[in-house]
Amino acid sequence: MRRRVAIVGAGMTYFRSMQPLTPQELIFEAVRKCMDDCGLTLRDVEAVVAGSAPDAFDGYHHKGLLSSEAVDCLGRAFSRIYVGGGTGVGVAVAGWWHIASGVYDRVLLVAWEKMSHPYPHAQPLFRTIFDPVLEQPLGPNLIWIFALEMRRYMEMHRIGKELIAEVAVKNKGNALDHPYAQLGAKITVEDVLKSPVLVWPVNRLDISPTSDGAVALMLASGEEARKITDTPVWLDGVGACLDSQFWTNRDLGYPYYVYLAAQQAYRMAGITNPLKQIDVFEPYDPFTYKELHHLDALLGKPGLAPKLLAEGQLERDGDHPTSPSGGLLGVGNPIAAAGLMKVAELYWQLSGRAGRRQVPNAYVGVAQAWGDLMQVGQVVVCRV
Amino acid sequence: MSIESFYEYPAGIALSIFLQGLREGKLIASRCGKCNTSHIPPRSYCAKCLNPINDFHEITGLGFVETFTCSHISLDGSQAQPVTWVYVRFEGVEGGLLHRLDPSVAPEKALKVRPVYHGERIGSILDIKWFTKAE
Repeated sequence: MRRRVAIVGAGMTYFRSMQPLTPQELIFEAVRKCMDDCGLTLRDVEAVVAGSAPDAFDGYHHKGLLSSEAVDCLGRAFSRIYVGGGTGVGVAVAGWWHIASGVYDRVLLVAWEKMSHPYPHAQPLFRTIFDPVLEQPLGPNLIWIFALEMRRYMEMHRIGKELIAEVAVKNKGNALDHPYAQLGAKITVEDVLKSPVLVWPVNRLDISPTSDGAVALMLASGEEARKITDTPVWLDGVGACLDSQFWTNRDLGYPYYVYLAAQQAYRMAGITNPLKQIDVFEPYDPFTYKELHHLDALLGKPGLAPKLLAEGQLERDGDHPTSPSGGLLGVGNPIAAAGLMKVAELYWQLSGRAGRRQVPNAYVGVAQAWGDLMQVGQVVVCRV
Repeated sequence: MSIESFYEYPAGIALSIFLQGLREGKLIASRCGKCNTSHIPPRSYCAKCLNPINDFHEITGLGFVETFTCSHISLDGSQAQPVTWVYVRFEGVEGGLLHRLDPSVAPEKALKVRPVYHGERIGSILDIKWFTKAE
């Protein structure tokens, strides 16, 4: 018998390009804030689900264990989830398994990233996502794959760079209201179009920054949640989906694997018409077009997201507020932490704690993360 | 801190045949004996049927551009000479290949292309110099 799962607390650190803190110190800060938020202590935690990107970023073997002291692991179950960029939301999905299964009642989720460790830049480490025999000899950098996908997406729906740039304008603007954001800014479409072309059609301002940061969430079973808080946010649907490692087998214009993950989560949460039934969207936006690409899949309608964007409906005061947090483009992109930040945003929005970012009438929200060679879909649906 | 390590990856059954083909100036695809699906790069098993594959055959090499990009940065993110990269598919064959486009050709959707091989070949994806416009 599946049990209902709730989010009862959240905490996060600043997202910054270089923080003079160790991973343990970042994790400690996020966990401490999360515990203060829900009024629990680490002794109340029965299991920990942790998430962080490849060990290569830290040059430290099995870096999941870095969190073991900050989350006081002695005597509790610990597992590390890794599904590429999808890790942050994947951590919430796995936390749900822990409680819905009936095994645990109180589970701590923590996700973090220190992307400033590799010197001079994390970029070359991403090369290792490509096939070693046929693709790595070509010297690919990470942005290639996005550029190939973005061009295909623009062609499929006949949309220009001017419209896609609006995503950066919106998200960086939204991030001005996020107290922990790295790149909140008031910019224009022209700023995006005039920023340097890195890998056409991707300009610098189309891309989220590299960041350091950590996020923690506390999950509880239904019965426990009611003891802990009067305002639980229910984690009512989860979905996870993986496609082939061979990206050359897909049509890059539509992330079908995200669609399938969303459909799993919607079925569980009783959502049949996401456009009507969901009040807040937090799709994964490491690149501008990615927000639209993913929103298309969350709505199950290829090409709808750019239309909604053009009509202004994705603004915080629009009909379908999308990335009210400021997203990865505005708040920052410490990989695993960025995904869990999106789930934390749903918790803050749906429990009325989002401050100046608050979306009116927010009852149901969806968060999604994506990763690796365009193949990972992780989705959660929350409601109050 | 830096990690000093070199990696050697075996090409495996199917890719070894593919690389041998490149050395001879040919593109080799695989075909599943059960569902008859052809695939490039070739596979040693069919992911749909979970069937081992023993059928490898040469394809014409006449492909078309599915999507493309132009990179202005190098591997480490620093500024570099722009290079156009194309994702090439082949009629009737699943999958595709990522490679450079001949700099004298302007990229466009559905452009018909063919591989240009180096004179001296060693059995590597770099035996293909680039793809160029097919007449």
